[in-house]
Amino acid sequence: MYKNKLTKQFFICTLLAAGLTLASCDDEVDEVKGPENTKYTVGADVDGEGYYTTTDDLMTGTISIVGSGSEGWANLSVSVDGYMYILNNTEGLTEKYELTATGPVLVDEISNSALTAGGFFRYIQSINDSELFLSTNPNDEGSVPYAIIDLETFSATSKGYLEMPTINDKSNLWVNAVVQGGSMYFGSLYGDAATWGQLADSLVTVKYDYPSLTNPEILVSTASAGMTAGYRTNGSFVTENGDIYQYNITGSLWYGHDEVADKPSVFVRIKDGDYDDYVLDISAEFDEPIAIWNAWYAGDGIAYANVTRVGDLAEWGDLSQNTGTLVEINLETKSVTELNLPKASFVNIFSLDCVTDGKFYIPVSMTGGDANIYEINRGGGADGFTKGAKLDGSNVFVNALFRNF
Amino acid sequence: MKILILSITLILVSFLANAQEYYISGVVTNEQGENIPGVNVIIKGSTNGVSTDAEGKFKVKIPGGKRILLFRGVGLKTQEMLVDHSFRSKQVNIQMEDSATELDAIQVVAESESFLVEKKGFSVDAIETQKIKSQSLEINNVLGRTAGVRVRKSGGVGADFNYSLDGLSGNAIRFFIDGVPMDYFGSSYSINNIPITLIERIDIYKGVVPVALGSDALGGAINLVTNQEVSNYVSASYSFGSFNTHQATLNGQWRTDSGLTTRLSTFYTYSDNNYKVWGEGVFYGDEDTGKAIYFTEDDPAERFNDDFQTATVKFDVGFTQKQWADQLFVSILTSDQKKGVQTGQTMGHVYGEMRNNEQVLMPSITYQKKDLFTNGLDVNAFAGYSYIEGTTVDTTTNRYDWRGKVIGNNPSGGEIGRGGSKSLFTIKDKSYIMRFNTTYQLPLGFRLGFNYLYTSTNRTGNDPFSPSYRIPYLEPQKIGSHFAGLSLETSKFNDKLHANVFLKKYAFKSTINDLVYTTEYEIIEHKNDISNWGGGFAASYLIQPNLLIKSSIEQATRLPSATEALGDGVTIENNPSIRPEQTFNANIGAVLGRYELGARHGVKIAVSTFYRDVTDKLKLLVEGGQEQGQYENINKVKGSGAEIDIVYDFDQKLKLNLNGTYLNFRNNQKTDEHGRENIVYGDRLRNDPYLMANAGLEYNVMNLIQKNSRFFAYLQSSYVHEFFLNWPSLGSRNNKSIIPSQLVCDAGVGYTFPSEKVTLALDVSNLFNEQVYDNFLLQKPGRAFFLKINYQIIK
Repeated sequence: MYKNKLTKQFFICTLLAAGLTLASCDDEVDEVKGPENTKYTVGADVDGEGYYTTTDDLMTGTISIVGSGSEGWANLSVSVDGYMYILNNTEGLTEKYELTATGPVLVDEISNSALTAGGFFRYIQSINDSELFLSTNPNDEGSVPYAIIDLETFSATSKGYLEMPTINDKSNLWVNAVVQGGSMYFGSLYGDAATWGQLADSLVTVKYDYPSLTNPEILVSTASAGMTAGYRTNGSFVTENGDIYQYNITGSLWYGHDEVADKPSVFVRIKDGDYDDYVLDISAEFDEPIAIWNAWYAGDGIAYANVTRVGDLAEWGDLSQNTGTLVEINLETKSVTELNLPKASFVNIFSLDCVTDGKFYIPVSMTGGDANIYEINRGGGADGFTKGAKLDGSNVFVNALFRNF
Repeated sequence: MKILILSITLILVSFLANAQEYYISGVVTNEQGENIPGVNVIIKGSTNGVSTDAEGKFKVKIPGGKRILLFRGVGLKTQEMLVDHSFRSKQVNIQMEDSATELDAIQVVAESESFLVEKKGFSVDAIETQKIKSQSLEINNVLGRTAGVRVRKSGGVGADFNYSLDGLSGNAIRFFIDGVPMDYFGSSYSINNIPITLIERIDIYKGVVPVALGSDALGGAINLVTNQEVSNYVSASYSFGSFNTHQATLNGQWRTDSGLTTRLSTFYTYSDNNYKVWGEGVFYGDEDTGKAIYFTEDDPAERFNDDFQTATVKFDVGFTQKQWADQLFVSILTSDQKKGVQTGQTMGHVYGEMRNNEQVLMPSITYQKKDLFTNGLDVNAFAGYSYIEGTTVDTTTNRYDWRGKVIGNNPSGGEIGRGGSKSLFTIKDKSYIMRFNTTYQLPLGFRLGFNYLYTSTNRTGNDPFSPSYRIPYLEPQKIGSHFAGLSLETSKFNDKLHANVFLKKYAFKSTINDLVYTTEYEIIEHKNDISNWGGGFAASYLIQPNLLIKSSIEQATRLPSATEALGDGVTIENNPSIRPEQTFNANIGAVLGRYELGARHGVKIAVSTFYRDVTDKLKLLVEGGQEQGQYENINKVKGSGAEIDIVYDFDQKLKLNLNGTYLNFRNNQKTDEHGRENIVYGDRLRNDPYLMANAGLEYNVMNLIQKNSRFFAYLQSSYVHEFFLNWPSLGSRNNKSIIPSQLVCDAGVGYTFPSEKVTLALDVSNLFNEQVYDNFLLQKPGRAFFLKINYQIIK
């Protein structure tokens, strides 16, 4: 009996120990814990000034930059292995900050002027968590200033100008890129550089070998027309199986004319190095003209797009009103669900890379109303969301939300 | 009935004749019969008065009735003279006796001039430049020592500058020269560049601006008063100093007996501005890795594309002191300015070849006459045409860093504009300016004033590398403004009460291009026509002979400037829907001046408080971290502040000046331009200094080394408390961008030889070689030495 008791206790203890071990393994494997209060970064724009703060909790309490956080543009940053890399265009620097419990600490800097003319980059992205790729739009010569920075040594390994090919005398006007399978794909807009008119009547991507950035190849899809580079957010993203999905911008507000306004807003796919016949016509899901301004990938084939009704956008300032709606798109099943989230302005959310436990998080700031983080259950339907932490709102516009750890 | 009317009329005429102010003129000579310049002629019991000109002549305004005139001068016995209305048509000759006991009265003159203006009730400081003319000082530096005034510069000689008067800054402050707006004289002939040698007095009006300075000044006005002497003279100066800085001036006047008068004012300034910079923003990238390597105080960088050169000639020909005109001049002003552009908005962006050039040609005509057609009717008129051509040269394909080295090549060229494209953009402004100012002496001691100002600017541009976005700036755009002001001024109770009530009307018209593209580019003209009324009053009361209280209020309007409305085609976009700024200004102050502490000591104390409420404030909205912006009407600002100015003098030799200013200006914008609540409502204004202080010590000695020589020395320090670049309430205080506190000291000495023809001066600025910033990451020069020689002949 005693022996049995001991055996039972041993058995229970072993189970508990095993359970604890497994549980801690889960944490270590799935989630690297960072310093306290640094799990997520929330970036904001106030009157043209950038601020950011970090938090561990997106669902309760208040996340505020009033009296806390740092100055800087988190929407022009990426987070890798406990460090934030921020484009500081005011001083012409790419800065490396270590995230600590007491705030970010500057640990290294690169002179952007040494990398490109004017020291200005519009986009920064992490490539396989080992490199940074900095880029901006093509200059008048159709060349794209770029730099590749090795994260281990935090030093530039490649920099210069990438000459974009012309297509039927049309120049490349805007690019942003993703890397997949040894290639870099530049979502693009082609047209007349002087007028920003005479736009290409198809979707265009320019593919280069990466990291050599050689062998340019032009990929064309006739599914629609307009810019595939994205505006604030990258117009392309890579899914878990290596496919690249792209959306296009068609709205006349963006171009200042209506050359491609009658073209549908679509998602297309680049598979095995070229566009395939995949087309998801988002416009067809609405009974009035729409335009996609942003889209963010949330994993498992689910993307979220900021859709605006063209009729709501008479002028540029209307984008800052409650004219945006959030649409969940299942890229695999091609189902499109407009969420019953409050309408808001989503157009200036540059960075949104925040998925935890299959849930997608997005800031929703209603003009004249509340501002909160919302937790969205992927595939949860039009009402599959929960209101989370309160944001400052007002003219504090959250333009970045991403995970650090 | 007729007898009654006649009697009443006679009584009235008699009363008015007695009450009416009148002028007394004359000449002051010494025992040898030589005319004496610089003698103070003061109405006893007041601080009103004038000083004799180079020929010993004076003309002083008497408020009415019997008065005693005091004649005081250096080394002369003070004399008194009883005058009344009967002296009006007489020429008074005063012979003064020498005195060994009465010393330099220059300080009294300064107070007298200042007090004269202050007594009108406006919040104003008047700076006499007589003593500091010989020094190598910029007007900016001199004004920056005044209570309530803050001058922020982005660099060395010729750098961009920004004035703040009692909390309002930028374009809210207007600059005048002899009452004419300086906006159309070009950058070379600006307050930033005009040598102090050419200026006699500087009037600084804070908040409330009199009608006579007819313009749309919102936060205040600074009026430079030039030499109005009618004597013949030649004056030349040359200074040389650190950073290869040279400044030469030559000015003079020749008047014939017939009244034909010619004037010449010229100056030339050159500086390499190659001062040392280091620290934040001053780095270069390692050629292999790109890592930022910073310059340090021990190993600083030297500015290499910041040279500045300007040459200006102003020539006047006309008549003076004729029956039909006190002054009638036809003038031509021409200037040429060339400057390198070393940095962008911060020192983090370095330019190696970018330049700004500007040429100006401005003919004008000026007419002044007192007592035109009838006694008491004074007229002052100005008309001018201004042609300004400014070019931004940004054509290089080279890229530079703080080592001054070419570090690469930009295929499309250009150093600004995010590495976009070359620019050789030339703006051509054709402007017309007309000003008519008149005052008329009414019965019962009232004076009516009227001022009208019309300005218009037609702006076009050209650029051989023109990108499409610049098309609207190549086609003509236009703004025009009218200003009319009416004032009624009086002094009562034996000149103790001064009051001035005024009404102003502003009108603004614009034609601004917008670019629309459908199948091709099309220019759409937007026309704007806006008008506003404004008005206010200023009053002062002399409670005691040396205690004055004063108050002024104004509802004012500022019309958009050419660049705010039409853009500059390079970094500032035009705004077709731009509106004027408006503000309500109020000032209350008191002046205790000069309170004698003993036979040889005296102190003057001035305190004032002020309130400002600005709506539709124009603000340059810059896209985050970028260089393009547009002026928009979005801001409301409300604030108050206080300043104190204490001057202590001892034995007419030593003068100690202390002043301090505190500003509490807050963001009063409850909702932003998109209708959203403003989270920084109530915040202290960002990037605005709010606590400032100055201290200065001056020492004058006569007969040092040589008899009749003058020695002058000064030590000046300025303190500005740290302030935040961005909104103070946002972000953690310990990692915000800060413009640090700074204490800067300047010093100098000057020696005037007995002949009074030659003065030598030595100045040291930033004596302790502090790292100084007025703006975020834009370092100003360190310690610099300047030697100046002045030569003057007065006939």
